[in-house]
Amino acid sequence: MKDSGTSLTRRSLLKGVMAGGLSLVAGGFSSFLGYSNSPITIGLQAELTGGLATYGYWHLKSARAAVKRINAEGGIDGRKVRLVHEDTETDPTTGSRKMKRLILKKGAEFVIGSQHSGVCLASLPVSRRFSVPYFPIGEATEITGSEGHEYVFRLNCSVEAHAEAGYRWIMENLGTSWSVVYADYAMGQSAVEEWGSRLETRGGRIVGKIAVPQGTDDFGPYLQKVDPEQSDVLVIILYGPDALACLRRSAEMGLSDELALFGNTGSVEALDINFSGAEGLWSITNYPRRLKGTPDELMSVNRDFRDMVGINPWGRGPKGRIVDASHFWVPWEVVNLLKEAIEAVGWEGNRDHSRLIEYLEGVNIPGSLDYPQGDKYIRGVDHQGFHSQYIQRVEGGKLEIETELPPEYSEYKPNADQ
Amino acid sequence: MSKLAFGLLNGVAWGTVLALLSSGLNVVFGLMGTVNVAHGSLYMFGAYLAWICFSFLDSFWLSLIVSPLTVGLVGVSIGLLLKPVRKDSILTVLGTFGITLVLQGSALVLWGGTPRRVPLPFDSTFSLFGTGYSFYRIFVALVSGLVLYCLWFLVERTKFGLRLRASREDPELSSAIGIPVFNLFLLGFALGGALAGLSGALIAPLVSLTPGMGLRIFAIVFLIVIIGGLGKIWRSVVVAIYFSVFRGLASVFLDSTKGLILTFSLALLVILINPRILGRSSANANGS
Repeated sequence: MKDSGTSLTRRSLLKGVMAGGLSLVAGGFSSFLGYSNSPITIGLQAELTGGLATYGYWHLKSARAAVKRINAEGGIDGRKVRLVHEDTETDPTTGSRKMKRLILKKGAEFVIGSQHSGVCLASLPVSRRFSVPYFPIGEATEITGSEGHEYVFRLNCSVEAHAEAGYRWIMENLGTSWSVVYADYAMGQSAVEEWGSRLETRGGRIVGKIAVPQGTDDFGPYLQKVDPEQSDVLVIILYGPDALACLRRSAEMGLSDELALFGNTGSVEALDINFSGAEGLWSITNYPRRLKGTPDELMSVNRDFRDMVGINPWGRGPKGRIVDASHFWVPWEVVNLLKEAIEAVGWEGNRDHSRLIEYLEGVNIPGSLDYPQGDKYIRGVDHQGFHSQYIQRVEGGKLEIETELPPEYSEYKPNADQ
Repeated sequence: MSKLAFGLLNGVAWGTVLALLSSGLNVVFGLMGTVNVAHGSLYMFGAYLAWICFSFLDSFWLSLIVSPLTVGLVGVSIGLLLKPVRKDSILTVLGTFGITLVLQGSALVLWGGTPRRVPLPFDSTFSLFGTGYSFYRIFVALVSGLVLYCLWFLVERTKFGLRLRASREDPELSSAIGIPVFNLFLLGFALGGALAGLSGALIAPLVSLTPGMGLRIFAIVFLIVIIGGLGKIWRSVVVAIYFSVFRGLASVFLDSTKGLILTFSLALLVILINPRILGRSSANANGS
């Protein structure tokens, strides 16, 4: 059969069929092995609605900015990066379901997030079941402790790392008798245990541990339990609206005049602290909200990093939204860390996860545009990251960095061997 | 002793606002027979309006008029939306739950997840058993009490209230004798919305404003209305104050979770002892 208008012959048809068949077989085989030139898919568990919606907003922006930058520079090992995300609704059950969705429906080969410790704890078994490397941001100690496993790495400090770095500073600078107001769920309970045990070991005293349910509007009955005559410091382990409500009521009840106030990272995170109740509040943070507080050697890269994520030097983004400074850098750094690890070990697909994990165990990460928070390392035994933390204070309605606590201040005894 | 006295007074002050919010739900649920799950979100919307008035118009006080009026109109819109399904209680619950999600999501998109605050309109405090206490809390309790009294008067002592209750008792007969049942249904939603808006505006300087604040408080308010009895304004006030005082005191003397468990257990006990509370109340909505 010959047609002047086309060049289709039996031979060319057979060639075409064979070529197509071979490419299908090859593609299927490489896909079976987990190797391909298709994009690398990174999943993000973000709290886009619910109590931690402010955090999710920034985490998504940070991850998107990192992926955009990598793709603009040629991708990872020549492969494009695809970011997929799911909203956890700040709920552990939903978060764990969304983790499965990221892996099974959206093809995530790595997952970053969430900020909510409850979501992270609920998602750890999913990560193990599907052998997907997971980079949670939630701070509960158990995540890289009793509940952690070989696929879990946390780049940012845990509650225990905050306590380890911060308790001595508080004892030396603010006082040794503490009343602690804490959120009555995983993160708060974990924090009160870590801070309290360290204080008491060093001869300090917890005057009162006051658990407060999430979403409390009226702090009056709880703050009534604080005894200002027995306490030097009121330690606030709350986040978001609860922290704000607690600070306002403390001021109204006159507690902030009688005691030093110290807050965990969440106590000022993404909050407008320009009000009289917050004045003088000390707190610990992973990263300065204002560019001004960044160490000199990192100033230039942080200016660029903030530009790419869309945050001004005062820590605000579009529509004046305040950044969750202590954590928003984590998705950016994890995406860059994945690029580094994938390229270093020649990772091509899920079958190479073990080599990637080996690379990450004990990795030293120097501060740079890829890692704007600064120098850090991941401890091999429990996959917990350690980095500098900062003590800051609200002065004139602004967060001023008072001192930097280097990474080694945070290191605590590992609770598990992954 | 001073802790007990503080807990009592603080509980009464909070309880009156809670009662005001509950009364709005009671009007729609108890008197109109519609479970408005969006009531909490209307309260949230009222609180955000207070924040807008303060931030952009520089007047918190304006919100005490703007919030009830605006949220009352939103209430009417909800009533209109529910018109086709208003006789089906399951569909109205589902419908108003959907409206809750829409309102909450809209708040998140419009104002973000960052908790907002409205400063106290009176900066001054006084010493209540050795603890600082804001005058504004007393103001809120007084305004709430006054509005609750006016509401009781409206429902129990006026022709409007009589028609409202009649249309709930027997809509068909009421319609037959010329009572505009659907218009009253809309007015009930307007009133419920206005009360939610006013509660939100009043409470705005005392709490942190977040899109989820309405859904959080709804469970408590719903429980107050159920235990107090449908359509019974004063009984809801008593239950709201009981709830607030008891929870406050339990939180002082027990830990928070035990206090909450004890408060809800006692409430549950009331329902178990008197399981006909719901039916009996709706059958005899005489406002006793």
